[in-house]
Amino acid sequence: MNLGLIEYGVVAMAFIITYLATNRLISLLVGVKREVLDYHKEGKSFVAYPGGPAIIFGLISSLLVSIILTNDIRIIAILGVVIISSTIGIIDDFKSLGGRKKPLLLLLASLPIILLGAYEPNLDFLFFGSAKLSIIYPLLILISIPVTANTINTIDVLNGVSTGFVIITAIPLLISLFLIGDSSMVLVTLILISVCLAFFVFHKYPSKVFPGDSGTLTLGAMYGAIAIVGGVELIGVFAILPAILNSFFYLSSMRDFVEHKNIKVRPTRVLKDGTIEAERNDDAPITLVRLIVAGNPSKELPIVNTIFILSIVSAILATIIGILTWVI
Amino acid sequence: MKNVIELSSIIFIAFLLVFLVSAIIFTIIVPLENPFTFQFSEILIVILKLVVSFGLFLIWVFIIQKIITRYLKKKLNS
Repeated sequence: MNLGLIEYGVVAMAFIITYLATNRLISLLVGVKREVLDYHKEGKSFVAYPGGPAIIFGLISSLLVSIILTNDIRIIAILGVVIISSTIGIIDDFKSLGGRKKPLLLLLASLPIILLGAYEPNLDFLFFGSAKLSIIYPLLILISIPVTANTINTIDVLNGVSTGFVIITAIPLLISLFLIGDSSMVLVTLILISVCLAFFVFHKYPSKVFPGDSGTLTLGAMYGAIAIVGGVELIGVFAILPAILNSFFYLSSMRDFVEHKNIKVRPTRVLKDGTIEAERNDDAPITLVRLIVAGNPSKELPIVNTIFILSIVSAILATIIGILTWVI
Repeated sequence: MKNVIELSSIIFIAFLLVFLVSAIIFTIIVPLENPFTFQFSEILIVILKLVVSFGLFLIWVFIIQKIITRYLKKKLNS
């Protein structure tokens, strides 16, 4: 499996387009005073929002070039997923869709993969071999895209977390796809990483822009689409385990799809000096950040770094599984 | 970053449990032959496999939730 200079050029193009688009978008958003309060900073700090359109622009333009280069129908399916999920995200950024409507609408984002038949109904897992799931697999696809999209959306609570998390957890996918020898999917994964890296320059602590639902839902949906279309579903599950756990804790403690902004008791409290501490009230949702600061109040940056360390742990475990599955 | 080792351990336990659940699904549930001969038995066996797999997933959620709740209580009381 070899990527040529042109393919690497597309990856570089994805970075440059996203970088320039984000830079321009920030100026535009600040100019029209479209900013939101950065809740976890001391004092009142406002950040441009939503930066998702720059991510979407970078992804769509690079995927279109990749389709021309590879003529691979699977990339058309991924482009379809990106377009539908980003449309839902943009609508949600400007007119909140509510906690229940959003995952339901995201079911639509799975359709391009199912309708174009851009999947193999097999699950490969270590020495347990390959399981053929002809009937169940399309149903799993239908659920998977909303799950990954919402999972990345739910973890996006601190500066730089969502994009940094996607960069780290896409590496096991990249290694597995490289071992399988799927050059088209390696290219698409590199585009995802490249776009996230370009956005991360502005999103990292202290953030100049927030991706918004348009950014996080698109990145999560594309992550899920790559895992499914590339046939590395279980590697994807292992890699994003910290975010999956975060979503499950949140859902099981809230017992409903409730938007972060509509929570009655927040999981954490920000003290005057910017230190974040865990809420002691039992009604507060259980989230990854609450677990990190429980009995250990911290500033924002160490918490972000802890989330990245946990992501690296899960990414290493996923990579080991990938290597064991496709090398041995 | 005091809690990072304990949280990494929780991630590792969650990983091991997903691994175990996947192993059970892959080696026992998926290869299960259809013992019935009546019409629509194929659909019945698929539903059964789905229900058992979902049950295993719920057990995973239950165990992880117990671990997390205990961890949170311990930390908040310390």
